Amino acid sequence: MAVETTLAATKGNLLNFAFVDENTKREIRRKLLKAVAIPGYQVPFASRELPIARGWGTGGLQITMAIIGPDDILKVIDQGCDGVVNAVNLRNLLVKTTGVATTYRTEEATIIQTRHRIPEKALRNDQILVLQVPYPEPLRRVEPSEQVTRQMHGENDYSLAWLDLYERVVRWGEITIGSQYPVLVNGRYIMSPSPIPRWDLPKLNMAETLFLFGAGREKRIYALPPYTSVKPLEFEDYRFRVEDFSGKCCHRCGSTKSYLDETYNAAGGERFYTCSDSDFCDERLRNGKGKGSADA
Amino acid sequence: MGYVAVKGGTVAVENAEKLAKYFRLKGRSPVLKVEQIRDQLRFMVDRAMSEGSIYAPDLAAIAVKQAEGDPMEAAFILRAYRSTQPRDFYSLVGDTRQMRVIRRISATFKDVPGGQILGPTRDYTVRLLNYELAQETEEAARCFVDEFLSDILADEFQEPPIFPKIVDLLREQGLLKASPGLEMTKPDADITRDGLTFPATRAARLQVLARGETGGMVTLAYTTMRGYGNIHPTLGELRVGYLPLKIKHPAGHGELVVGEVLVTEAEVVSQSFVSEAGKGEGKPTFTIGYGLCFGQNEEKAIAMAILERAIDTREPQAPAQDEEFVLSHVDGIEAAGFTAHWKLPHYVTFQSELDRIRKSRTVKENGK
Amino acid sequence: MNLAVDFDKQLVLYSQRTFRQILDCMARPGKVNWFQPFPASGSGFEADVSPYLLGLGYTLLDVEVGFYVFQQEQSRTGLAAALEFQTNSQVCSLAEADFIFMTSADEPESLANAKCGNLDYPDSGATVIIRIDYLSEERLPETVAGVQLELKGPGIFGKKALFVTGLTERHVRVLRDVNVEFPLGIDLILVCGGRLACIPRSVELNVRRN
Repeated sequence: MAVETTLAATKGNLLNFAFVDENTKREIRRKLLKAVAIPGYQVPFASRELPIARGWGTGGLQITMAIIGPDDILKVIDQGCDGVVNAVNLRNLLVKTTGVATTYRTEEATIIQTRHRIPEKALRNDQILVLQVPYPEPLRRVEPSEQVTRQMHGENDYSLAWLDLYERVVRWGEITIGSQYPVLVNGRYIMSPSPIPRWDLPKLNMAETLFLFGAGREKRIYALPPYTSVKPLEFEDYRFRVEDFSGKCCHRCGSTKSYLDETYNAAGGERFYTCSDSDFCDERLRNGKGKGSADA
Repeated sequence: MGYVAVKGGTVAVENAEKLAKYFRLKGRSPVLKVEQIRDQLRFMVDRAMSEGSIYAPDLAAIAVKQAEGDPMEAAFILRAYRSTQPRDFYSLVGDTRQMRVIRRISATFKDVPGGQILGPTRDYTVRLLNYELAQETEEAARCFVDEFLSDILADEFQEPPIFPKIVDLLREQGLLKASPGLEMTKPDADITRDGLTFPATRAARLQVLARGETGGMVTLAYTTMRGYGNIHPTLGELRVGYLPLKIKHPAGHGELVVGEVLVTEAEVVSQSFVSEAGKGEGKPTFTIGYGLCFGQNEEKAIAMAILERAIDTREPQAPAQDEEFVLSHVDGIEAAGFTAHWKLPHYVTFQSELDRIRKSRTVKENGK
Repeated sequence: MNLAVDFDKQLVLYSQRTFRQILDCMARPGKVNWFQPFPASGSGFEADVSPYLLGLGYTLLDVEVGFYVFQQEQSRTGLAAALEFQTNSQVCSLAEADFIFMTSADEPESLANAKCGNLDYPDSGATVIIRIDYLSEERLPETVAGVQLELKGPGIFGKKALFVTGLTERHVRVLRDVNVEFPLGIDLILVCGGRLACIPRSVELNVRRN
């Protein structure tokens, strides 16, 4: 049979608004409601394959696809920056299938999809942050079996998680968890905040914004409603600490109050620091602040 | 360095795509036609369909061309395509006894009812690199096909024999548990709709394995043959052929055949001790491990059957016997996607790790 | 790559907009949002059915879930038939239902039999959509008899008051009993005409006496 005949029968490749079909959206929407009703609990979902690879944001993307409408203004960032190649790719797919307006400015966005950072600027109650999650299970560090970790969550038995923290302190004198620091949500579920740095964790506690978390490959959705208690696990004598940038500032805008990326000059090789949040940095420059400005 | 990268990122992505296309075409060799891939690289096409979890040979051939022959990438393209297609019907249970067989062998008995039919296979060829393929002409190819067909004399055509299932033979002798009937209309799980949960039902296990990545499954099955686990399988039957696909007639009465799909089916037989309820000792019987996949992909079907058998235990002794271990890791789209994702920028999280390591060193040096 | 998009604008965008309102309400319990009636009601059996209930059903239900309609729901059979037709979802028993439709006139005690999930999968607890007679974040007018609910919990800054007619202390008692073993429980969507509010199982619910 000629290939042309097959192609004619498939009617080309007409897509639905926001790519996924309506029943896929319905399933995600139902699961989102349950996720919001049980803060920090991981709801399993079917998780469709997308033209973007697993591990590259299909979970966050499916959530965005299920909630986005033509009136939304979309911002997509990766490592805090709109221009990182994968953010560009994800944004293109969403724009091509929705026609939605986009922005690089945090304050203009209604939906922000992000990988590994929360914007520095506090988000409002009319904004939704969608986070891409590689490892939804915070207990996976200490227990490889999903059956077992699900039972631990169900029975509120988090002794292994606390033991892991304790052993790190004993070995290294510090809680040596960098990013993906486990948090206790609403006094009940231990949750992975996704690989955001510790710097960003305080933004989750009693926030004004709704946070939605999507793990496409692992097929889990979870959520933090606004005004929910989110506490990093810590000991009285070994407290949770954010990253230390003392003595450093952004070489571009002078900020000493944002999460900084350590970079090496491609030509000369010397080390310098830049704001990870590109819009935060740009806004400071727009407002006339800069290196050498008194108000850093 | 700066957020001029905002525009730079888009341009970089576009240029990378253009460059990839250039690499495919720069040799200026004659452009591959999709039919050529479909017909002459059929194992690649079959593998893409099997792992892409969609039966569509022409589309699979396009995917193989688009992926420049990368089988995981081709399967990925098909999976994404599959996501855009509506699910209109469930088929009725397919009975592989009705398969239009092109190949059928059994290792359990020297000869079997219906006979051992080798079919199209290179299993018994000697693997010497064939330089003649570099000189193959259109004309020679056409001549070969014409001659081959004309050698089959019309008056020697026979009705294809009936191929009873070897496992049915074993069942008749009480050596195998009776099979469940074919009345089931809908499986008890659909991993493409419900997601996979553990413990998994048999239907869920088979669904995951049927769309699993060939290399990963062969590796895991191989571990069980070499001592990581205790499966001693014999290949009861391997069939390759065209299975008719039927649905309930939408207007309500009877069945409708909607087409046929090329599948490979493997049934692997191994010993087990089935204890009767309440009693301690068991009666030795055979159990089947079952493998089925799209296209002709025999190693995958056999690996699938072995793995299905291996994970059917409550006390896994080895990794490939652990249901969660096997089923969580055989999906090629997930495994390859996540392996590839390490290429994405991770500098924010790395910065966080740096902070912890530097801090711990300070703590150690200062004795806190 | 060229991506060609083709879809039923009216229904696709209706579901999306309605869902955003529901999500906002579930994330901010006690907040009242407005939503549109279902735009594609046919005549005949759908004529007596609330286009708002139908709209909520259309947004959330499909072939993968089952639903139950309580006796007192106006045009009960009408709603069930309309939902089955529009969504391909199916009527099932109360104990199996993922979505339960009821009114304030129905006896809430049988909600004790609704699905509450289990510890491994508490999300399989049901969603109850209850039609009431008055729903507002503002104090009830003098002429309207009703009750002030007080909500506390995730999504709420401090405490939130919700004024309703149709929910009584009896309903609140039943809900508290059903949701006593958080994370097990059911989640409530209150509907009054085109207004909706949500009470997820995470919320502590009380009746405020003045």
